[in-house]
Amino acid sequence: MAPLAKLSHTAAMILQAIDAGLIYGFSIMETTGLPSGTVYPAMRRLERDKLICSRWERQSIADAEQRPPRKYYKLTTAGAEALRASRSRYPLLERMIPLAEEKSL
Amino acid sequence: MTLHSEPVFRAIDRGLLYCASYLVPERQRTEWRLEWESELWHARQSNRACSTISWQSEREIARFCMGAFQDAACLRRFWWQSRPRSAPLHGSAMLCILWLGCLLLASYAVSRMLPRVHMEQDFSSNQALPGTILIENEAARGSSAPSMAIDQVRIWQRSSQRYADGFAFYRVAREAVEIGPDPDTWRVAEASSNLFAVAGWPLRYAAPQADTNDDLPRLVLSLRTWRQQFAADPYVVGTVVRIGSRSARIVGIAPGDAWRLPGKADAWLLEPDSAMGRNGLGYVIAHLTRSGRAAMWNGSFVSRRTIRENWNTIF
Repeated sequence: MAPLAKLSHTAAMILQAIDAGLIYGFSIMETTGLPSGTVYPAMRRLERDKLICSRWERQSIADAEQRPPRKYYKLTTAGAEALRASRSRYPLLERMIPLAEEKSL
Repeated sequence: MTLHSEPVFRAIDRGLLYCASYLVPERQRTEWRLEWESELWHARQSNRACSTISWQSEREIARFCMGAFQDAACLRRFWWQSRPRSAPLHGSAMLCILWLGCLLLASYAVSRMLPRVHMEQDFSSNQALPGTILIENEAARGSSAPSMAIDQVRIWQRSSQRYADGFAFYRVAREAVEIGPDPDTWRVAEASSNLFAVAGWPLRYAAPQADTNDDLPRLVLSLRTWRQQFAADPYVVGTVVRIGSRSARIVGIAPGDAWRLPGKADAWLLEPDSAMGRNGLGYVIAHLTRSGRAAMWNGSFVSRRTIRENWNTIF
């Protein structure tokens, strides 16, 4: 894994977005306002560094909703740890992308 | 924008993704296409949800698709960084051989830059000039005995020639040589001063013209004589030795393996043809002109190396 201190603000935003429940690429794009050319490569790097992992949605679920299956991302243990470290480094992170439970409050 | 144009935009977007997918390593390409097509579907749905179909939304979607190129390039970069690097070569015999090969090549390149080495290599690869032939009398056909008289060469040199642009005569005789306390006997070829020019053999350690501008005959040593009698000393060039009853100045060393002509000699005493005595037969070599070579190839001459018959009519 890449050293935590070197996690960029973009990477931290994506981790925060995934942690907030935005678990596929386009939703992360919409929330963060980052272009696709930034979000997807950053997600590839995070996945390579094992901070996030991905899985394909079951075809039956996608068929039921009449749409193509999505590729979902979630934080790994290392990713969660990296995100905690990043929050102290980027204090505004949680305000920019609040977690789902915070939104509901 | 009309509804009819929507399939066109869809086709353009899919085309963009399809093109970008070729940047993705083949192993990941199918999954990558599936993910991006799925994302494109969601992007289109999202844009449709927030506005009617418009240039603006299509531009947004196209911009989204353009991001696929950066994503694909990123995957390509990962693949490039993680590709197997010639690992079996590390610390192996193959690596050792490669290094030795490189070292040899580098040494060869450096050696080619050294003037003496360069000269040595050129020297060992000397061949007679193309079109150099040996002329002998028909009577001497099949033997290596000398058969030509110097007078014949003088006649050819005086007349206009179509087939040859140079003639050189030489004859070999044993001569007493004084180079040390004990007298020695060499096979000395008394030769036309242009012998080496006609044959096209450059001399080794040739003395500068200014150093040899005297009346002394010029002497060219064979490589074997130079090595055996002078211990391959390059400074012997320019010195004067006694050959028979006359003195001669050593002007160079003959190419080692170039001499393929009859009459083996330890040294060549180069003199103008006019200074050579009429007595004694020798050998004649000539350098053919282009038309001379053409005539030879067309079969006008019997042999490529030797004119054995009718030499009087050829020249």
